[in-house]
Amino acid sequence: MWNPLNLFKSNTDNLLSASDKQMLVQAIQAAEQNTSGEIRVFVESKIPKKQDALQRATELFFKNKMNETKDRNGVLVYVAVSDKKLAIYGDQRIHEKVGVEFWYQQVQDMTGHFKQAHYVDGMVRVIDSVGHALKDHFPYDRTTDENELSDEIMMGK
Amino acid sequence: MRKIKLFGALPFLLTMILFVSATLFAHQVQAQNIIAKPNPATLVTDVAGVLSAEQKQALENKLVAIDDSSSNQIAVVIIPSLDGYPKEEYATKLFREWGIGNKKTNNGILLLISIQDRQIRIEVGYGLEGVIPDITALNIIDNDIKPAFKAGNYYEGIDQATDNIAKAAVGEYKVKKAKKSKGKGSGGLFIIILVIIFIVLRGGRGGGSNIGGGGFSDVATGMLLGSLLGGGNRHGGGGWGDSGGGGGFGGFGGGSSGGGGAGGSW
Repeated sequence: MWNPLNLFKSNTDNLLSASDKQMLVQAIQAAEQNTSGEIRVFVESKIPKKQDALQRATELFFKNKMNETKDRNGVLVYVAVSDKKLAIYGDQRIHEKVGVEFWYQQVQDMTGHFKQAHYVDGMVRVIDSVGHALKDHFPYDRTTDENELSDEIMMGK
Repeated sequence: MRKIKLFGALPFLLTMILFVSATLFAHQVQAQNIIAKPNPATLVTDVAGVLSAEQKQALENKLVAIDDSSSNQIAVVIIPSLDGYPKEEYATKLFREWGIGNKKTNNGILLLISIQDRQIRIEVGYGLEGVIPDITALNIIDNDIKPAFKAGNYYEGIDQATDNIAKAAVGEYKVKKAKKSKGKGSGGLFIIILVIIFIVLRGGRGGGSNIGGGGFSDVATGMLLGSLLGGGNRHGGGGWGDSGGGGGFGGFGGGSSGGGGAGGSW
């Protein structure tokens, strides 16, 4: 039933269910299993005015200090649900290895799934694929690796 | 009486003008040091250090995307001072030496900002001269840059200005208000506009505190345009860009030292 109070609730409350988040966190943990690379996901409703998805992703990347990993290999997956926009941003070292074509490919994959409303599926697939790329270029070193960034899904407004 | 007095002042004025011209000319000859092209090259170069790493990265990303989608190459260069150069000469020289834009189409645009001198200049490659005439550039400076800079918001001013420059370059910018436009010089170096902005000292943003620092090493350089922004450091030389390389992301060579990514919608 339509509840006018919902108008005042944060939009992101409905973007991902608890189990969705859980699936994403598991995907991130699985992806980071064999690499020193770090993946984070940021989901919000709308991109702030005057920014595009990639600009916003870049901003969030720096704001969340994802550029401070030891190997400079953090990757942020950014989704603005209401705007139907998404972006992916990788730090210097991983970007050097995979190049922009890789990021485009990931965006393509995600939008393909999102068009069919398979949001979580799309994100899980991309996390998985980024995880493979990270593993190829930054293999896990059991003795030194640590989980540098939280795996929790970040939710904006 | 008045007329006579004015008449008497004329020779003096003429002498002054000559003197000033000579001084300017001397500067042209002496001042050789425009800032070097950053290596690896970036579209946003902030030697004055007025932008945060985030802001610089966001701008860089946007300009790269514009370059990618339209092949119009907009470079933003922020320097602490013009080092004695007349701004138009500095801009022209930098434009040529860095090789902004595509050599064939001459579709480069330079937004040069000198913080201490409070001077701004938009230099347009002749390939875009038709779509970004004086009046458009002036309009952009007046409406986008001036008010924001006055309030100390360098990023906002540059962000809006580059948005509108990009729109203008593809014929989508509407001049908001008629302003008198400056006649084109006959020299043919396609100097579109020159405006001196006196940034009102206001709040904590008066000149000095924001200047200094910067440099290339500490800045996240983002996606790079090494191959797009020409090759060697050519002095003098004719022609506008010594770079080839069309637009597109294929232009970002290896050795990039910043992050990168892609965006899309569904």
